[in-house]
Amino acid sequence: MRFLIISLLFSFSALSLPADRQPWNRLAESREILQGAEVATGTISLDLPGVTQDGSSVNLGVEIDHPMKTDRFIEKVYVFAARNPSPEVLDLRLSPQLGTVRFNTRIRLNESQQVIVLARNNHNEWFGEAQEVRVTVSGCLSQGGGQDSNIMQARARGPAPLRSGETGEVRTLINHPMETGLREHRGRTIPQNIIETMTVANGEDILLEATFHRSLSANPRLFFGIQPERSQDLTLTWTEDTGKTATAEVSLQVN
Amino acid sequence: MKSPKSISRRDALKLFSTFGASAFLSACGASIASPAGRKNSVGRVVVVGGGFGGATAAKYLKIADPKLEVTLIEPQKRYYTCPFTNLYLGGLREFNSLGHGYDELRDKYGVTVIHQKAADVDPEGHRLKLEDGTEVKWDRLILSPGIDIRWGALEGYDREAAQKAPHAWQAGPQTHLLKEQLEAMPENGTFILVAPENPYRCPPGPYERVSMVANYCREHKPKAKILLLDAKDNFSKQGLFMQGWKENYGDMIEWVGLSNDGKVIRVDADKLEVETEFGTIHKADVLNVVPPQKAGFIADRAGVTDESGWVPIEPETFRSQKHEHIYVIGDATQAAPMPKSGFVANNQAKVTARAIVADLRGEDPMPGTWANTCYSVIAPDYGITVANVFEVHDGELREVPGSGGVSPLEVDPTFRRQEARYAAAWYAGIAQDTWGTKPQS
Repeated sequence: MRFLIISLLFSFSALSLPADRQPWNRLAESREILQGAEVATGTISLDLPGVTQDGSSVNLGVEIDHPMKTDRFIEKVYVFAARNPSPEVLDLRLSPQLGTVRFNTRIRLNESQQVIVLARNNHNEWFGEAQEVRVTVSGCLSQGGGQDSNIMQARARGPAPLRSGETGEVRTLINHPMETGLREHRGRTIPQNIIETMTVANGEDILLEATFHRSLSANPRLFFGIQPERSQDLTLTWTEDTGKTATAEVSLQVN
Repeated sequence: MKSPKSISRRDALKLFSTFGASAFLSACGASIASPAGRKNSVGRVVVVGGGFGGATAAKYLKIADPKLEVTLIEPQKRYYTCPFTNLYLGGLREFNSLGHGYDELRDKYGVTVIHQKAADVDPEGHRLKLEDGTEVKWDRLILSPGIDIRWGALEGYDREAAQKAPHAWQAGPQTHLLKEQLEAMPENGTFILVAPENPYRCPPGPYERVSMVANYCREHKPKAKILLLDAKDNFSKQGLFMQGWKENYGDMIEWVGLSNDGKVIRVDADKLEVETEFGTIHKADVLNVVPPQKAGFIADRAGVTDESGWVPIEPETFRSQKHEHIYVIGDATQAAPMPKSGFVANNQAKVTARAIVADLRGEDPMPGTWANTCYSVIAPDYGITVANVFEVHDGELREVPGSGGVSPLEVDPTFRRQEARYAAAWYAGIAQDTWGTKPQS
């Protein structure tokens, strides 16, 4: 019985806590964005492991149950890792043309902590969710960061042909070490070197603009849901902090 | 309901005298009769699973208190270990040398061994149901059920697919099937191993597996190609494996990690094809799929698993977080940062056996310390190792800071040769400790 009560408490924690104890009000970076706004819970679902053995690449799935129509849509999403040296992980600017808010990525967690996701709609209403992840660094697992032979190699894949109104997934990945600027090698600090943005455009229309921070894992992946009304070609552009870019194309077919 | 964990021994004594139960206390006050109230028994412990965890638990329960009634439930009369099956695939061991019996547990330690499959658990009624319908009563239950495959979690990979694209992640018919397929593979064939995300049984296992396949191929099919498609970017003893592959096998083994499109999302066992996240199709001659896993099914029946499919435990004792009289050890548990290894299961069994004896006596458990030692054999004269010590700190399991480590990268061949010999000694030692198997001369 004790266990049941604990798990119930956990699932409703954000909901039942007084505002000043909600996780996003206890972190300077999220407080600054919120500017005292009220945050509703119960709209965002998170997919995170309770325990992870590799803090360098933790799977994060986010789904937001909110309309994506031109008059009412989620405009911004923020991801924070409260106890990382820099808590910002990822920001997204979304267009209603996406038709849905669902994405998946990999994040860095320096230690056990809460992952916070905040979202704002175009009426300035805020939504939030947070979940605790325990990080156990296992000596059985190395903490390397993928291969560096093919930096800036971009990959993208669209869904199989969709029916109108059906949701598909676009998968994107770019090979990049996402150097945090915190790592030392032979007594010298390796300077920060990250992919800063990724945009998804259909011609002039920008459907999604992602800002990557250094708490995003090496080889940034962003898989996102899309509910296209008609067939279209998407251009994906990644920009490194040096200004260097990489692109990829995805064709969406709607029957 | 108050958990017994929070009742100190003094409280327990008070509680019992309050209810006039002092008659149950033995003269020295050390033991409390089993709930059934039978005389002469200090408690009945049933252990499910006769692998590294279960067999060790049964033995060490009897060592800690010979008066305990200990019953071990294990369907196989001869148990074959998953560790070292890779060496069988590589041609370094006979399969028979991986088999172990239960004579010592039965004859020397007085454990009742029942060769049946556990079918169901009644946690409240303290009963275990066996496949033939028999019920076994227990005061404390230890589950050491190992893993089950999450059939269907990887698209296209079900029981039928495993007959064509074996996992060979449980020792037995699957191991033989993979060995036969490897022997029948064309000279210039492609062997593909699909490795899963964490957590899974034996973190270095997939990497030792391809090493041993390469060892077989070097001798019998030197033109073969080995491709390891991995759902992870980082893996156990990575630097050492990569170095060992190069030194022993040149370019024969190619590893493709998550960020280079190594994650397989669909298996076609009929065509021996796999599809990755970004749509690459790889065709194999032999396809070895190490699929997503979960705790052995009896843990589900006992209701001690959570949504992850594994069993959350109280770290001090490995008592289930969901049932106060059920303990779970080995691969089925969520015990990170401890790996799912045979050595850890053997260690957990010893700590848990002591904790159960203390629990039945109404005493607090001794603080536990656990160790892991894990050898991987890359080639006949080339072994590597990782070792760690674990403790409970602030209510959670952690590595003892500064404990353990992995083999050094820069060493001469003698070092690797010695570690390969230590690996064989490790196996002989743990098999003797667990099942009483005498080392082969």
